[in-house]
Amino acid sequence: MCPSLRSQADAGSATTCQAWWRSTLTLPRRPTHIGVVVTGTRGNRASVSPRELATLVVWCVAGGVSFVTVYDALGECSICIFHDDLNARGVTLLDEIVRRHKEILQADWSKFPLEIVDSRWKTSSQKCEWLPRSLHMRYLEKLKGLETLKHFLVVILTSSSLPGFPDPDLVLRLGPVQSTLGYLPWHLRLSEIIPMHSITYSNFLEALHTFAACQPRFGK
Amino acid sequence: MSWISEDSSSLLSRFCASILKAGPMPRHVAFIMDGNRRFARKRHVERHQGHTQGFDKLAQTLKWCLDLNIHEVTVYAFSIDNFKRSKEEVDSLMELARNKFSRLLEEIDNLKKHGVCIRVLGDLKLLPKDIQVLIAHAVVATQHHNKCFLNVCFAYTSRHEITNAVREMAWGVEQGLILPSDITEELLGKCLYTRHSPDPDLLIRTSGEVRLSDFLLWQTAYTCLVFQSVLWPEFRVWHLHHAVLQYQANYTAIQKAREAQQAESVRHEYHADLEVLCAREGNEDENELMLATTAGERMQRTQMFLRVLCVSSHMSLNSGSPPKKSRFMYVYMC
Repeated sequence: MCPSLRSQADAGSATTCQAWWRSTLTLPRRPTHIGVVVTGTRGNRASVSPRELATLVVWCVAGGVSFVTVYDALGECSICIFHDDLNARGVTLLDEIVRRHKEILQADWSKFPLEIVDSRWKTSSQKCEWLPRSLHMRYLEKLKGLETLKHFLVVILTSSSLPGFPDPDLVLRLGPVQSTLGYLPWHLRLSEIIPMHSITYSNFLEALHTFAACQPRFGK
Repeated sequence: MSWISEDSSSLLSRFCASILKAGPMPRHVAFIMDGNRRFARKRHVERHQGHTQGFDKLAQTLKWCLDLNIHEVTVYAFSIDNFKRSKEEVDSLMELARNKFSRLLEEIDNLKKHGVCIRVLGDLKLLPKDIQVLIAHAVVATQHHNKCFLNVCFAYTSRHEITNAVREMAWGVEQGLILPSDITEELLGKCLYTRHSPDPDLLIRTSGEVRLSDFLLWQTAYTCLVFQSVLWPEFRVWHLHHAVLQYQANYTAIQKAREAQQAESVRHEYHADLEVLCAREGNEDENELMLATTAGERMQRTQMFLRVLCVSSHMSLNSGSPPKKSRFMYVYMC
């Protein structure tokens, strides 16, 4: 990655989404779908806070990623995320994403709309119009289970992938555990699995550059 | 070179192995042996020499695993996608397989001495007929060995394996052997090619690539993944030791996640049995005795279904003829 861009990111001075967008345009290969796998804890707390996760999702928007899945492997963030009753006390990841979306993208937030699909494969009531640069996000709870099996049967019978989502190109593994802990096993076929030790913009750009440098051979 | 290296390990590596063995050790290690062609380019030799050196490294690695009391190893030798390579390279890989499986049959006594059971996993009908026969003989000759296990994934992809398993379960439902509610994660695992093996504890991929490339996708959900930049023919015992150290560092967290997943599976099974019972009895009473009976009936059905699949697999191997299209098709034709 360009040293000056890294220092800019670390200093927090690259704050406009246009600058971030430009920095990823030169990459020969960009992910269409990023899977974010949250593993492990730090002490008694989740290894990643909802605010950090929300920030990462918004960076994906600014980086031109169209699809994001967030997988909470150990359920440590679940106290804050995705209850059936969205009026539950505490901050939800949804609320945090909407808040950070406007904070980070500022005047440009409406150019990068979000469509957030919940874990039961139903679209949320706040469905956005499909736009080429819109971000579609899905939150997954421990998908290696019967729901996955039923989904496998659907996949085999209909030859469709994750409904409406392509397979993840890039999996960002957050937290100390060197495993995907059950994240979308069927869909991981060709995903590049890259660790992200902490959620900083320079680490995110580093991961995108590492992804761009990977050369899939598809068996050849 | 032999399938298991007879070279003695150095004093230092044996000493380090004994230290490692004081901590939790993986029972089953999977390898994606990547980097043979890049090694050949680096050394300015032909590609097939790179693959030959890769096989020699496998033999050494198996010895190192035995030194570490790792008794099960699965290797990704040839993917279905690898048939897209040039005819010349595919032919040279098939010739290497021919030589090595023939060699295996010649050193069957050595394999018996070490108690090595060889299994070959994949869509074997895609291979040349003579190689299918060699593989069948090798697998039959070692099937009763039980000290250590080498699973060679050949003409394999994980999606093909999972699809095959799901089709077999669908056939089982169609034949009335199992109910749709009997389909669980555990049953899927028992229908995969790797049904005789525990899931890998550690997966090592060499050459710097950081993807699974359609290898054991289901089985490695709770596996410690280690990606190393070394090319496979240059893999050394220290790389293996380093990977084991990383496994040990991740052991507690992964165990915790695995146990949580198993508890979730048990919960799903309980609810599935409850649904069956409610549908049968027409009420929603959670009668413990009747639930236990329903669970017992489910287990009997699945055991019978798995026996049917297992018998068809053995019949296909022992006939000495090439394995049939798939177990599903073989039983259906009978």
